[in-house]
Amino acid sequence: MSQQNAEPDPTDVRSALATLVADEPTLPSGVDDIERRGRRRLARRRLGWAAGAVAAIVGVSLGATALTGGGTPAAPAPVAVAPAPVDGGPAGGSQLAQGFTVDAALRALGTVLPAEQVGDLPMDIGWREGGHLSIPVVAPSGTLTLTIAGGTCTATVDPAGAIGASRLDAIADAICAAWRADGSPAITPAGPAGPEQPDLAAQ
Amino acid sequence: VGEDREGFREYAAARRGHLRRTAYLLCGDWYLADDLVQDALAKLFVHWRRIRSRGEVDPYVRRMLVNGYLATHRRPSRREVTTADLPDRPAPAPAPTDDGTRDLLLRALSELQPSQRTIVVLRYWDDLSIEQTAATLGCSPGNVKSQAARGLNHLRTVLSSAVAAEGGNR
Repeated sequence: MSQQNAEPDPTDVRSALATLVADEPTLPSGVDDIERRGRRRLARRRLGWAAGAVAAIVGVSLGATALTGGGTPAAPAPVAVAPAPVDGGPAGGSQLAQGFTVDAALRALGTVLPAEQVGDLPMDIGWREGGHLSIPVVAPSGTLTLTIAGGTCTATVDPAGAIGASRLDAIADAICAAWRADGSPAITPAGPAGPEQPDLAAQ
Repeated sequence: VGEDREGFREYAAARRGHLRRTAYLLCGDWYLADDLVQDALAKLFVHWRRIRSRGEVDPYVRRMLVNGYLATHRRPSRREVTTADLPDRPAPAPAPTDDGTRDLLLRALSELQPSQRTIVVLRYWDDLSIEQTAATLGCSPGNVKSQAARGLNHLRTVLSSAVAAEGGNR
């Protein structure tokens, strides 16, 4: 009697299942509702991604400040993003990076460039000599370089064309506006990059 | 972007009816079924471009649907709760073949373990192969085979007892 070993003929069960859905009520909502729900989900993902990126950048900034701050003990990892100073002065007494922070630049960038177009940020991200900040971009992939020097801001991308010229202008304008809103603070290089990083183990 | 959006809308419009029926057979509640389908399609919306370019749209949505259903059993907050006051809702029209078998079958389905019920629905309603069902649930084909056979036997036993009872009443 047992049908456990052979695959039984499921025709009767299939037709029984069909009777269960025979009284299907009309669909209560359209594709618009589904799309709206999808957009909300997408917005939440982007918000989460942006918050994570900002927290990571603030963490890196704190770490860099602790390393270059002459024996200042390292601060614990931040759990929330502190608002940027609005009085234009230095970050009086705190261990937050001084000058125009990478965080502030990325926030300004986010007003022009969608979050998903920004690639994974390197651990050593920071301003370099000459007022340059390199940010990886994706789709198409490349490196966006923001430069604040001589009171002006520029945005370039390598390879050329990865971001349209008009969008690059908009990015430069957004960065400049944020920098000026901060009181045009000095651009403080984060220290040597890549292989020039100090060997922590040796220290 | 516009083309992507249209592509998603076309897919959702074409498939949500079938997905809804599958979801209903999984959970036995049209309202929850609508919610499960909307949730699965909303997840698809987020990853539409990537999933479509891989040609994995149907398996992805099915997986999201099944995950959503199984999650309702894992999370107490999403489980169905009984209330004294039922909301006023229009009663569904009785099915043409409704002779009590329908209720019996729904009860028999609800007696299956959630994963076993999922296997039965995917195998015998969605016509998925053993391998496709195993891939959807992330289990072995052997597990699918044995669970499907047990589930089927249970349903068949219930159905045959109903037929026997009906014969006895005549």
